[in-house]
Amino acid sequence: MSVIHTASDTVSATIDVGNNPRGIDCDETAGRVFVANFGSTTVTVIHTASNTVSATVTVEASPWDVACDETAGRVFSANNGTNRVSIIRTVALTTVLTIGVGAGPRELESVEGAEKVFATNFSVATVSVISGYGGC
Amino acid sequence: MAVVVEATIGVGSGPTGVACDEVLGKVVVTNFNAATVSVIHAASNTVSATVGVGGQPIGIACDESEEKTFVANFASGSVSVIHTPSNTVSATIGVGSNPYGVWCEETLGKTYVTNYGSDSVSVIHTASDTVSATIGVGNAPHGVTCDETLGKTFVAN
Repeated sequence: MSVIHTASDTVSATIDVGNNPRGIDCDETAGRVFVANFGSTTVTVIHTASNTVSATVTVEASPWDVACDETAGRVFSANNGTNRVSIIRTVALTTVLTIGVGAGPRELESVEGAEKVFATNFSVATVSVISGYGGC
Repeated sequence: MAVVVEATIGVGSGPTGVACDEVLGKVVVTNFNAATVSVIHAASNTVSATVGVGGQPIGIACDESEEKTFVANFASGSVSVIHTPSNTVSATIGVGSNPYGVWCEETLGKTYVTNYGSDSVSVIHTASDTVSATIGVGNAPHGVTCDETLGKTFVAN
């Protein structure tokens, strides 16, 4: 991972994560950056302020992307190899549920105002809409 | 309330990137194989428009302040700019080889694009649709995100 100082557009640090990091998202409320390690079946958690790895969460095969819902305090991993999405508590880093979506899930987007997460299913030309996760 | 998949929405072939403009209530999806973007009405989970873009669109991001959606066209080495309210392409910007990830940093008005084939990041001045800097990073950069509070941009490579 490269860290860029946004104001000056210069690289200020590099951070080692898992294999083939792909999708990435930032939770500003929790001060954490989440990275999907496509080649490692894990999500790396980075402490944003210090650029250090604070935890590694095991998910399922070939995580392609992650997305944070800061309002609900959940982070999602699109597990491309199992056609499922992992729902993780942002602070506790525990996986509370894994839910099936369409084949070949790739990227995720959280619509926080509606408490929905959209997942693109590459292999079947659909988008799955996940909801109701705030209470789990 | 139980966790459910409340809807499954048909889009174009090879859906990959997804982003949302919460102000306008739109979710946008890149269809990698179809060279299009599907626009979904977020509240009703229905497709409201399909927009033609460059070859193999992949990463996508919305700048809500500027009402622009930026699409990385992997095969074309370009970024398509969509005027989000009207679903029309307003500009096409040349970037590096095989652009992949996109993120709009709204505080400073910069859009970051990772160039997978060039090991670099292009910085676009969001308001004017012009490239203001190109930053060398590690091999094969993929996703990009910004912490606007701390002024940091993270690139997965």
